[in-house]
Amino acid sequence: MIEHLQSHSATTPFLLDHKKSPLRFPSPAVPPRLPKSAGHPLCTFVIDDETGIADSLMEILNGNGYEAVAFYDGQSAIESARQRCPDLVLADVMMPRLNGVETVIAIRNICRRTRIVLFSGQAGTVDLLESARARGYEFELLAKPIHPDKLLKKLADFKKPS
Amino acid sequence: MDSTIKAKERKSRHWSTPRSLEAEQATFRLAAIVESAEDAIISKDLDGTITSWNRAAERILGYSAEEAVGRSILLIIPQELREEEKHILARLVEGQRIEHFQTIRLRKNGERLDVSLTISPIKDNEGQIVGAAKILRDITPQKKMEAALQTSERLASVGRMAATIAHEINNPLEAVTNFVYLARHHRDLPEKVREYLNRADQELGRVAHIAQQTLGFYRDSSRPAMLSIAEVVDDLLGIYERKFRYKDLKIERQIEPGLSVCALEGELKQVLSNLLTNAIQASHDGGRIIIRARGWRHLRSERRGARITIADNGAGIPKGHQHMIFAPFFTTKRELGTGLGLWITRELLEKTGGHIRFRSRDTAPTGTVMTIYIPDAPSTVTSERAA
Repeated sequence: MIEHLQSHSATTPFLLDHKKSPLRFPSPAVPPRLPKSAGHPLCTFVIDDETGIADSLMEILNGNGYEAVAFYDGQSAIESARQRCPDLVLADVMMPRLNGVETVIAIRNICRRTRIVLFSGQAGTVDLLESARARGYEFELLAKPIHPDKLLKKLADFKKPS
Repeated sequence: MDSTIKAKERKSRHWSTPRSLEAEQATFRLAAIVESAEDAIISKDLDGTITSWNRAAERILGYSAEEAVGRSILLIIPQELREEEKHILARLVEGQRIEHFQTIRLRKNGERLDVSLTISPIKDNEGQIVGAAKILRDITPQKKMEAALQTSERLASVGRMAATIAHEINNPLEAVTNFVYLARHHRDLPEKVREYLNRADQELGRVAHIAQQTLGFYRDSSRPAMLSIAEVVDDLLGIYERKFRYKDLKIERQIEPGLSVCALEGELKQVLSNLLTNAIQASHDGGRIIIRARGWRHLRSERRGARITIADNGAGIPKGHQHMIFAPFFTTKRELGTGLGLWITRELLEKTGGHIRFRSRDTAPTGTVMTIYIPDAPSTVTSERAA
């Protein structure tokens, strides 16, 4: 874990400065990002109705070489994805109004190459995933709480060129 | 007076003289009904001596009519319920009928049966109670079904509660873990504060683990992944380190180098953690726990996998408990146990074609050896062989 962090910080300075990684919503003027472009920070959407989780994860990711944006509901994330496809989406499952599974299905339909990971603290979410699977959508699910070291390790696999 | 005597004589003549064909036929029909009844029909006199025993009684209770008739009814009554018979007889003497009385009776082989009894007094020609007719219905299957239903209802409510609490706890836990992480990695942090935060982070790891274990029912829907047994075991040993120290336990770790299986990480951790927790709790101070893991091929299915043994020299499982340890809600830990650990462990293993076996003794030398077999997911067998 520690080695992993060190290797990261060797290439990307460890930044936690709010000014350098503000909560930014991609603007329509920005052209769609090419997914997984080597050398570029991965544009990551963190979607969670729990603002504490969304904010902290965004900061952690921004401090580790990602370009993360936090959303507190599914709808605004979908709207942003229409403007610009993220490379990676990390979404909570149980959210009011539009749940995480419906959110990522909508994003998947807009952005075919975006990597999607769901995370949840509830076993009940398995049923939502099953119904998504029945509709032909397959998503990886991580259990909350997931330690940031572990999450970063998991996400680092997505950074490797496939 | 005279008329009474005459009436008695008339009655006795009626019974002592050869019966009419009609009466004989009626008796024969009755006997046939009794013989072909699905329920055991037994008669006894007021001393409790068995006087008749139909075919269903032979089938349900295991004794033939020859074996049972002439013997005491206590033959089929468990020792601790023999008082019951006195009460039954007392009520019969008063002419009362006993209906649908649920109790337990013994088969010839000692097996206990849940039965429903209907007992009616038998009167002689003069209306004197001379015995009792007992209809015994075996309700063991219904009782088992009722118990299973109750268990599944309890399980369902536990599951619902666990899911609710898990969600309420896991979300704040995720947020706190993240904030502690951010604080730990802050640039201008005094060394002492960093140390506190590192410790807070370790403690949070424990809380997260406990939440997952006890609120658990962790249904891991992610795909199975190649897991290093050594890494998984070391993770768990780290979590329980404090408990090992507290009891001064000696842990021996014998893991085949490079051993890995394709499995669901959450489930594998839950299985090993349940077994390890049991071993710790059974251990005396200064005890020993051995964790051994090696590659293994299932004898029948020939499927590759890992065989992991967790052995302790603790208290051991009493013989009387050994058949119950995998049943849901069986616990000897009173308020500390949910009685679900080994049940979940077995469910998780069997779901993927694995199994759990154990040996245990509670007399010197005491201890328990739990052995599990975790099959490798078929799809990865080839790639692992090639590796």
